[in-house]
Amino acid sequence: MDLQIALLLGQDGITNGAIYALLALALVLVFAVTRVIFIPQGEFVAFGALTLASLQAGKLPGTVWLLLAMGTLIAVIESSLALRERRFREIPLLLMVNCGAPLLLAGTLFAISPASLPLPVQVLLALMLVVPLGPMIYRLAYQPVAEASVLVLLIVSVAMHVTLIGIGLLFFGAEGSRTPPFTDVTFEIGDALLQGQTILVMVASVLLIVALYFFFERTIYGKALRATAMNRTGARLMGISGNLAGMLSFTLAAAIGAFSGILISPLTTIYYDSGFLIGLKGFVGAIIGGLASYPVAAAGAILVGLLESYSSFHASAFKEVIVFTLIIPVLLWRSLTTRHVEEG
Amino acid sequence: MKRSLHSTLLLLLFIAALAIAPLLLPEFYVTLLNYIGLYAIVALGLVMLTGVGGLTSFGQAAFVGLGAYTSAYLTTVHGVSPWLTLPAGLLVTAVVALSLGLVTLRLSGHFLPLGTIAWGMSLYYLFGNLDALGGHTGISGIPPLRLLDLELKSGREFFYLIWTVLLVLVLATRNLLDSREGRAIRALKGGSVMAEAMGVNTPRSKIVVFTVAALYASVSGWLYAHLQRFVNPTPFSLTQGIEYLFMAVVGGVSHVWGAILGAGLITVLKQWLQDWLPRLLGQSGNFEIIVFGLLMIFVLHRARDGLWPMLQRFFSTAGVVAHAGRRRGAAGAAGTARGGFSAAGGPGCQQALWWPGGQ
Repeated sequence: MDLQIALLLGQDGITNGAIYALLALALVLVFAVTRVIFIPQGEFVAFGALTLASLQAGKLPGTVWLLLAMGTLIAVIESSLALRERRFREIPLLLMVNCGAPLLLAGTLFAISPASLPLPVQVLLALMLVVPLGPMIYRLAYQPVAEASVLVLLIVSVAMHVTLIGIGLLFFGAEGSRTPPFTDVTFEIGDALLQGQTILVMVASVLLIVALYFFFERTIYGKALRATAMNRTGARLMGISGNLAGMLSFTLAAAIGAFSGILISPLTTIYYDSGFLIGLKGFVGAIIGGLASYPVAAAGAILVGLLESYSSFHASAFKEVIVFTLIIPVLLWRSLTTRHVEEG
Repeated sequence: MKRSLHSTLLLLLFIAALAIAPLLLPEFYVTLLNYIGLYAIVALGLVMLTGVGGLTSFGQAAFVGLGAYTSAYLTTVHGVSPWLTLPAGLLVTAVVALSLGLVTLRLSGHFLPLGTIAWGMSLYYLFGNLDALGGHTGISGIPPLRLLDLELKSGREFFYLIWTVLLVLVLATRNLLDSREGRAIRALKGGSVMAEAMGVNTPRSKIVVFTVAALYASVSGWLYAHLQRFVNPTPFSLTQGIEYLFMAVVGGVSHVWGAILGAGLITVLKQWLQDWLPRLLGQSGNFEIIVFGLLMIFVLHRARDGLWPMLQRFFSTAGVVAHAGRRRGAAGAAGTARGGFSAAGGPGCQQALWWPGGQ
């Protein structure tokens, strides 16, 4: 391996690593706030990328139907609850948010042809289609069992993951999609060629991380999430709704996932099930951070990206084996350095 | 705690039905029952791990693969007798499970399942990429099992072996859970501090239950390899590992018989859905996982103990198990953990959600 290849692999590794880092942050966030190990994170990556690809191909993305179906289901559940508790005034708002907004979005998609729109608008549309699925999934799948053990929540996550994989196959088919790059600019640094898209991914990741930092440090909602992560009961006593915190963290996770998918889709072909592997690599990063530390998780994720890229050069067939076996020494190290007392 | 006469009677009826089933049923159903048996063996291990021990694993399929591949490799490449490859497979599985357990079980509960996901993935890719194991095409020409002079070549002959192994393991599990070690395992799910205060070495108990569950999976893999006489990586993927967990949870994760119920239900449902869903949706693909995922979420929301307790309640109200509820409460953990036709079935049982921290 000469320097040029090393640089190229390094560039690849850091690009993927930046994406894994974003996902690792989302996973740590969701786990800290809700104790949910959010396995379906990867599906948001795939849904984001494939929704954008469908929009660009001039097709109606299947995620519209999912959004409508889940919105309707939530509206039915919430309205019947409101009826039972005689909170009649809330029903119109419930219907408007859960059914009206998705319908409006679907109508817009029917009326205009998204393929001819400029790229930023397409990205925005894709995000608007995919991100609301996050809080909706929280409402439907997790909120009813929010107080259950981590184990139950994890099994719900896995069930949600396979459901979404199946739905992804149904909506997007088995063929993969690749979106055109956001920019064709390339830079030459010495011998190495630096692609504009790569830089874009890195810059976007760093910007997103900085934005998240300010969200958590400066805004009231960010602080509420941090409080919930620190002590759920204490936060509730201070008037922070656990359900709101859950939905908010799922919204963030879905946004990060979908945005990562949109960032990565010009670099690699995304299939309906590729999200899972991408998400799992974010997980390895998150576990390196013990599902608690954001900076360590991000660093771990970059390490995973680099490891993956260099091992794909040396032993490409075993690249996945190497990445997923990395988790074992990490867990060993964690089990030797932490003393954990677990109560039921 | 004596089992009641009724439950013994039901058990005998069940065994009798099993004994004559291959003689009456067409080939298709025998094959289906064979698979149900194989899956139930794995699910039984998961019942012990999840429902009784309060841990879980998504990587059981990888352990099945270890058992299957060890036997397939040793019999085809080195010509070892299949009866010797069973202990060999068990040994390999035990070593892997022990080392994995030692690494993850000292951490808090969710690291083990996460570890098993990673482990299930990497083993699947390893099976598919090692040339010695035939890569993605797998290993064919595995010799059939021989019992004295009888070659177990057909599914009907294999049926008896599978279901005998399964029933023996069911009984073994119940006995294990009634033993001193078993009581320690049952204490795990209530949180480890109490158990430790009572002198239970909780990390050791966790490793024991995890290893035993892995060994069950390995036995199932060995049977599978010699039933199919062909192995490739597909049935040992993470997806299959998740499906095993579905079987255990849907059937009833705190009852040994829940494993058989879950395996049967999921297998039949899968067969049926694979027929109908592609026609209904006009596309081909594994759409049954959508239904399974939703079913699973529904079960976890509404009946976290799975379907077996419902079945029990149904039978006890129908008067079949007249003694149900007699031991209710007094038996506590033992009642549900031992499961079987004699376990307490009334509403008291429902409170005993054997999920750590379950509400």
